[in-house]
Amino acid sequence: MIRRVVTAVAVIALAATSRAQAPLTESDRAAQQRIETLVRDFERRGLPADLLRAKIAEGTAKGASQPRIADAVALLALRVDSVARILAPSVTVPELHAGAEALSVGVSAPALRSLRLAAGRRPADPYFLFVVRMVRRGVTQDQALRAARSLISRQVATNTLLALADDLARDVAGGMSPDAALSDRMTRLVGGFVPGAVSGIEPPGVGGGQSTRSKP
Amino acid sequence: MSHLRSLRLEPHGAAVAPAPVADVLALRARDGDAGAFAALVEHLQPRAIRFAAQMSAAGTDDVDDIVQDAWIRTHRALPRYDAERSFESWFFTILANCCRSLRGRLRRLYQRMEPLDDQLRDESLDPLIATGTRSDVARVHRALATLPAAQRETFLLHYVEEFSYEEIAVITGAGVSACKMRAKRAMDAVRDLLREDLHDD
Amino acid sequence: MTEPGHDSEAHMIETRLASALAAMRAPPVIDRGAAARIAAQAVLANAPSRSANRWGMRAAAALAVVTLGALAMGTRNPAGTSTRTVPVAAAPVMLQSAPSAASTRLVARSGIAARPIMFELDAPGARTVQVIGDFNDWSRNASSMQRGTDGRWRVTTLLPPGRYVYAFLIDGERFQRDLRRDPIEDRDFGVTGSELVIGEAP
Repeated sequence: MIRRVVTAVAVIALAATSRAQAPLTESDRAAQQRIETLVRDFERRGLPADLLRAKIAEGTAKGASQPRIADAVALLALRVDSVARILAPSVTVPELHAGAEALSVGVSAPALRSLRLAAGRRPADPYFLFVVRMVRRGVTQDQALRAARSLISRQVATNTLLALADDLARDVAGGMSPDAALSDRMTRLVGGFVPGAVSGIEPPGVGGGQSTRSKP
Repeated sequence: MSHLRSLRLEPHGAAVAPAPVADVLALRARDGDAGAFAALVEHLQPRAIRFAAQMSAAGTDDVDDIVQDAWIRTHRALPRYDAERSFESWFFTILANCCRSLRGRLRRLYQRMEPLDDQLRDESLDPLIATGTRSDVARVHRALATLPAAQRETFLLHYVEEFSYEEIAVITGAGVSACKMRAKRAMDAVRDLLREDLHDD
Repeated sequence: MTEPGHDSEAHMIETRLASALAAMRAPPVIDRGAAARIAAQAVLANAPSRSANRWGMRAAAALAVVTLGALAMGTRNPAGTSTRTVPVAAAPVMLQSAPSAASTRLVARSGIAARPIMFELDAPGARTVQVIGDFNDWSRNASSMQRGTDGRWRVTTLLPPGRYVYAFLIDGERFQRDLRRDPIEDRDFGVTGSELVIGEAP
């Protein structure tokens, strides 16, 4: 297992070297070791090292330097780990992947947990992805989370989630503000947002919505 | 269709709990891997800026200085990091201390610097956020500004940074009950101000 | 017990409070290069000429450590081993088992029929064009496109429902995003790609 990782990393290093036509620097070596450490750590803990390998493949294909690839792998590992720990004890790979992407656009891990709790036994990754796509299209994080929360409680189909983001992109291109466009679409689709903000901690005061807090 | 298999993880604090990736990278940073340190900075920076901005109620340049100072101190202290506690909580302890010391300096220098709250409202908020909410945020900050630093800090760590009380206890060094009490007092003060302003409107 | 007015006032305060806190949680935007700069400054600030300092003066040359790659590492053990053991889980988080390529694909569910998806790029001057993305593990050889008589390059690939990220690689050296689809910023490597979403068949 480790030999496979080392071999893969060595192949990348060789490719980088032949492209750069320069010997491996100390920085490249440190980068390789960092990648190996992280991949090993994932494997030991049962986390999906394939996600890290896919990031390495992406960086290699895009011609990135070793240190830059190692940087991206480290950030991804940090995020996947944050999601895994907060969604423990059971979480799927798509949830880790989508959750990590949500963290990369600034969504907090506790917010993801509250969405997951609301989703119950259903997979949460379509909702994580929905939030990511909304935020990328200019919707404020709070609105995107509230919309996701509402869509979870209405048990909206995955196709509808996907279509909603496409529709919103068109609305925004047509000149609407992203938040207004989302609010409008949500009203038409499910009658609006469920009350209360989405947070990883219990909402302040009484009647603010369901409690999302669980023991660490 | 995917199937979730549940397996209980050991509770936090038990000897077999896995170390977070941040701790693994922090140990590498301690041992000389500068890229590992840079990754930690990148990962934590948004939260660091957000917390420091609201804790110190200072202008943008000062917030950048506070956070930069926290990273310098963190890096300097790395040789002493041993993964006994999580790197994230360790860093936030250092950051919280940096916020407090700047706040004290600012208060001494600018006794009547009321516009700080205005500055905070304008600079740190997404322009897309509704005007009414922006005013409410300013009210929350005004309420927090009247409180002891420990209460303000605990309020922000819990309600904005979304740390649990157990995590806040580690960050601040106070007991869990003390943290809950501080958060509750801060929240009561915030509610009181909102209620007063509601009557004034 | 409570007056009607009191209840609705309390409710309004809680609603406004929740909105204010949500606004306070909005994450600030940080420049891509800021972290590297800050990390480099921290290293510089802590690099005095004390003999006990393991970084030594060579660290002073290590600006923008991540992207420049000219970092001096000193004489520390390059294996990066620590003297303290980090606790390791005895019981890792258990996940669904899934084939490796499919497991990194968002939203897709196994067992659902793949559909033919066409990629198209108008690049009459190009010699070679490939589609590179997460669905072909970012391989430079997997999806080569063919140029039609109209100067447009095309390839059709079977893809199950899901969400994919990809870009075109022109002449093996230049990346171009698919202008027909929504862009995806790439903060890791700076190569903006495109997002393709395939819904489940109705």
